[in-house]
Amino acid sequence: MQIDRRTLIASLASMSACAALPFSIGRAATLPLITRSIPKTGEQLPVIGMGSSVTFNVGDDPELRDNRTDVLRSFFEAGGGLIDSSPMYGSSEEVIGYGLKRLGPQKKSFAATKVWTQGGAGPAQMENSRKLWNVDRFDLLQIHNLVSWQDHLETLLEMKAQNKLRYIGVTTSHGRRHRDLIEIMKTQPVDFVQFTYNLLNRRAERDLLPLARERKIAVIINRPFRRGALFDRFANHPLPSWASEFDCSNWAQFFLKFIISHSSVTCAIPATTRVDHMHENMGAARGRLPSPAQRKRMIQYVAEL
Amino acid sequence: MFELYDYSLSDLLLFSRETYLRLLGRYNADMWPSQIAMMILGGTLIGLVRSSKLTSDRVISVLLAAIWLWVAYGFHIERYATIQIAAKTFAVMFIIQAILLVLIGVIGVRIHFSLSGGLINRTGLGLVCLGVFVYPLAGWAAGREWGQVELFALMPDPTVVATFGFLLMTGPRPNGLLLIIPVLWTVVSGALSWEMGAYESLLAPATALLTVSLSLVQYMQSVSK
Repeated sequence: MQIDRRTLIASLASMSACAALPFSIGRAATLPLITRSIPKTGEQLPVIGMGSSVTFNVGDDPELRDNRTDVLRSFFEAGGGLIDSSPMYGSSEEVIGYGLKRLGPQKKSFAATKVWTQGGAGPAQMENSRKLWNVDRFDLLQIHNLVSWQDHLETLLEMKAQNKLRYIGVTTSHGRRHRDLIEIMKTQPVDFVQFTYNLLNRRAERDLLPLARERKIAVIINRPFRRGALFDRFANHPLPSWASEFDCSNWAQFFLKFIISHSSVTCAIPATTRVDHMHENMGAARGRLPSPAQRKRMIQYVAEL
Repeated sequence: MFELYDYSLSDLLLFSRETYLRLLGRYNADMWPSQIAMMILGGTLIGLVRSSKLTSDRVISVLLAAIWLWVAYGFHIERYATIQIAAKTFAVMFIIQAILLVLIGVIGVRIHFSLSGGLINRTGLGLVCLGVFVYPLAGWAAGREWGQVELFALMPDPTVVATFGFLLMTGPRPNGLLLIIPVLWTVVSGALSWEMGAYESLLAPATALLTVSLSLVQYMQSVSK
């Protein structure tokens, strides 16, 4: 069995956590799931969702497809709802559809994908995505990286009016095109916005997060682990003992709880290929969240590592 | 299609190393035992170069074109496209290279292979041997399972490396047109391999650098004569 960096870190953190922390994973599972309301409707959404970039792009490999179905199952069993994908992510949509079909209807599933093509090809791509996912309609359709956003927004508004989707969103990743995104958030009737925010990339605190609150736009946070870079960076350091004060027992939960403790964040979407990591991720959606003072301490702690 | 500056290299690598290696493993398993036939084919091509006949030149070009066509279809379109959204574009590149080999080497008869014994020519032979016989060992040495190694005429990188070798065995110097796509491929492949942490695959860009450098030397020599 190969041990990856996250497993190694988790093992080390668990050893110290077991010795020092009164909190346990078993207890965490009994705590109520944290949800946030979608500002425009008040609908509740679990604060931890699931991303699928890279992790679900496994092509037609039957073993990996079944493995990802297990990941999906554990996500739903742990109370997860929002699954996010995109036509850009290779076979991810098809693999999600495969998993959803095998698992059967999931009451709390919140299907979110994106449109990523030039304007005229948008409707055909969205219909193809719907077929790949095996869903009647998407809960959320987002314009990926603002590609042809004017054309797509018009289509999405029509679809929403016809009840062919429930929410409209726009996305960017790792800090690109924030200025354009701000303009769209100020002027367009979008329900969701998706961008990057994590312990080492807090630029969104300056403009996007306050604006989302002001404009009543739900916020999805992508790349919460900075594509694994946060684990790399903090691999050799112990989880602080005071992390137990907000029911945090591993680094994944430390990173995620920092994000979802921001009051403007609706949902973070970590991606994983492993059931045990999914359990860790979903553990962040239960228990106490860091207070503003504790958030400052988290920032300070990682800055000093 | 999109503004490329909106994406980093990591944005374009949308699958994991594990997924990629498993794809290679399944491909090799499907193709077994053609790997042995491909090595024999590589040896046969070297034998044809030794014969230095006009017919041999055409046969080598046709066979190389067929190999590039197969990689375009058998690997890029049939396999790689299941996880790589740009695979069909890569396939087009490989098809164009096959067409160029036919146009220049078969119809135009403008490629003449030989084993002249010069340093650059011998380096070419070395690159062919590297691509055909040694390349799989690089993957194995880097920790891959045997079933996941890359082989000549089935996978792009060893095919490109061997093609560089064959082109260096043409005189008075390699046809520049035939170098463009292989070099471009090694840039793409090298960048993705770097991002994936598959450092053993940087062998292909290294051979591209060597081939281009030696071709320039040959060019300078021919100009100064």
